Amino acid sequence: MNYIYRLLCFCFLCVTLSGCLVAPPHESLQHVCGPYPENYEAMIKDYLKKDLKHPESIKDFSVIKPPEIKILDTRYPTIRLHKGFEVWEFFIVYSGINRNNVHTRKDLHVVWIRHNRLVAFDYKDLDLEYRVEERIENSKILKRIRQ
Amino acid sequence: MIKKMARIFLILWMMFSLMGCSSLLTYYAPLKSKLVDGEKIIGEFSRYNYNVMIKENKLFVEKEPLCKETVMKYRSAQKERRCFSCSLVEMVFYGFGFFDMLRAYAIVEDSKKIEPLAEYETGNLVACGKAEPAANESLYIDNKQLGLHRIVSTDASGVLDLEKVLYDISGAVYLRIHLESKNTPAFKYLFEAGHRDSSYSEKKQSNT
Repeated sequence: MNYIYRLLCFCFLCVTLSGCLVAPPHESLQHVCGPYPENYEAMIKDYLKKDLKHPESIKDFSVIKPPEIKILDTRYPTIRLHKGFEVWEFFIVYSGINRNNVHTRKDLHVVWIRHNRLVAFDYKDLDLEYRVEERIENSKILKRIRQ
Repeated sequence: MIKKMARIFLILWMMFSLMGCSSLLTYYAPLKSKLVDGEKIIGEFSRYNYNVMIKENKLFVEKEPLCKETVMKYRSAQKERRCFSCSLVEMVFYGFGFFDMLRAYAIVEDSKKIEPLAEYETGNLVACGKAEPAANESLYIDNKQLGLHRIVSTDASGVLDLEKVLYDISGAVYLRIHLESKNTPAFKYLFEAGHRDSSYSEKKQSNT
């Protein structure tokens, strides 16, 4: 019995602590989307470099709609965004080789930014690896600013 | 007696807790968005596609207008059906599961939302008009060995008579012919002066 209790406690701790690394930043609780993302193009290019299997295959990249504020009409549980929250929405277009090694034609993608941070790509959450990296980089920048 | 009461209570509790579970959970579910392609639209003119046919030392040049293909992108959002298994359990136990299933389906259908996002060029070119004779189209005729380099043009009906243009050439000569248009590849043609045989040669150039 004692053993089961310990195991349960351990499992509970593991589950709760595993969420800490990717816990949403405090800005994610705010309704507003923060300042205009000046370097949005660099941000998305950086994301594509890390996310795509063949980032060098990207061709004809263009932003067809610069960031505009959009108020969400529903909640997005995976992105941790609620109805009424604001996001900077912009559209990009590019062609390239997808994960199945197939060259795809030019396609439109929707990107959301909040508080100078990419939050969603095509209404989906970003890769965990990217989010962790981005969080570490941001914390380094914050440290430098504080020093 | 107590056991019987407990059993009835359990069944009633199951009925109440499971009844309409699927439709209720579906109703409170968020919309799930995805990107969908809309209708393909023929956009603005891009360039011409040239077709060249050669018959008896005569070039027949045709041009077909090509336009940029654009697509309208939409955001399609709808609720996801939740707890489908609940309605199956209800169906087995009480027979109301079917209604729950239908209701959940109706909620999903009712929540469908399509929002236009933007129109963008796919990069493909599509034919957007009839092919017509390429009148007054400039062509380059080359032969390095002979030091031949001539710029000639087709007539109003898109025809170029090589016999007339190369009147000073005798015998059989390989010619490299290409249109002024940068997108058109060059092709080789064996020109035989004064030779008007019935053989038919055709060269088609496709740039799509």
